[in-house]
Amino acid sequence: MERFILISAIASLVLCTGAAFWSIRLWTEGQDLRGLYFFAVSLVAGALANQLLKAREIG
Amino acid sequence: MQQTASTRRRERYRLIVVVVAGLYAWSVSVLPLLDDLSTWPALCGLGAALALSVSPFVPNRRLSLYGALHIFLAGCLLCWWGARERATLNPWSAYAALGWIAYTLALGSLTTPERGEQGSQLRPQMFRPRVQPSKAAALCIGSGLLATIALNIYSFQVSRPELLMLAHLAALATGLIVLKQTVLLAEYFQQKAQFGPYGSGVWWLFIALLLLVSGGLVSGWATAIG
Repeated sequence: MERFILISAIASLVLCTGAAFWSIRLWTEGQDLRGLYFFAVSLVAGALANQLLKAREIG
Repeated sequence: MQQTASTRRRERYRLIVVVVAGLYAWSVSVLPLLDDLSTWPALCGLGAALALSVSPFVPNRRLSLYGALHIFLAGCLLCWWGARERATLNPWSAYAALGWIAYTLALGSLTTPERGEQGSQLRPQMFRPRVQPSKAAALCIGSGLLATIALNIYSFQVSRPELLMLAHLAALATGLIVLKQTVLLAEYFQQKAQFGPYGSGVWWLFIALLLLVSGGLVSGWATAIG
């Protein structure tokens, strides 16, 4: 279970970083709304990673 | 005599943090103003950076502090005064504010004695760690740091002024999240190295950590080229 949580947290971090890169990429292309959407995805993925790591600490 | 030399060496190490923070603040707030190096504001700016950079190598403690604080600040102020007619771009101003806060905090930390300097005169070798640092933890923090720096550099690709600030804020926020989580992961790896042997499943975590770098860097930079 602990390993599953850790891998999920790392996957969320990958998603967080990738989505942030992608949002900046979209802003450079002029797709503002889609960029904002990806930035929101990035923040949610970061928050998810945080919660997963907290759950591992509690568990 | 030996203790005085050791104390001075420790002070020099502590001053390096101030130099790094100060050079960062200088590079984002003074360096963009140095177009023509023959003018006096540019010379003042260069002198400020020089005084800060050599301050750890000055043998006298008081003189090194003069270089890291007084001469550095005076040079920067004179440079700004000479170039006051010029406009600075928004993200540089924001990063400059952060840089000067970092410089101030680093300078303030010099007045706080280090843990080793408080209390008794125990020799440094007595504080050797019992557990060796985990390589996985170092890799974890290094990956997070690399991804954060890359993200901040990449945010300069946005050229439109109305989105430039937002892109920098997004990079900063995401960078802080990634750094915090990678530090938590590194803490886990260090504890694992301390309290138990590695299992085979840890290799999955290594692979996933590599994905953290490749997922960020490849998707960002490779698409920027294409």
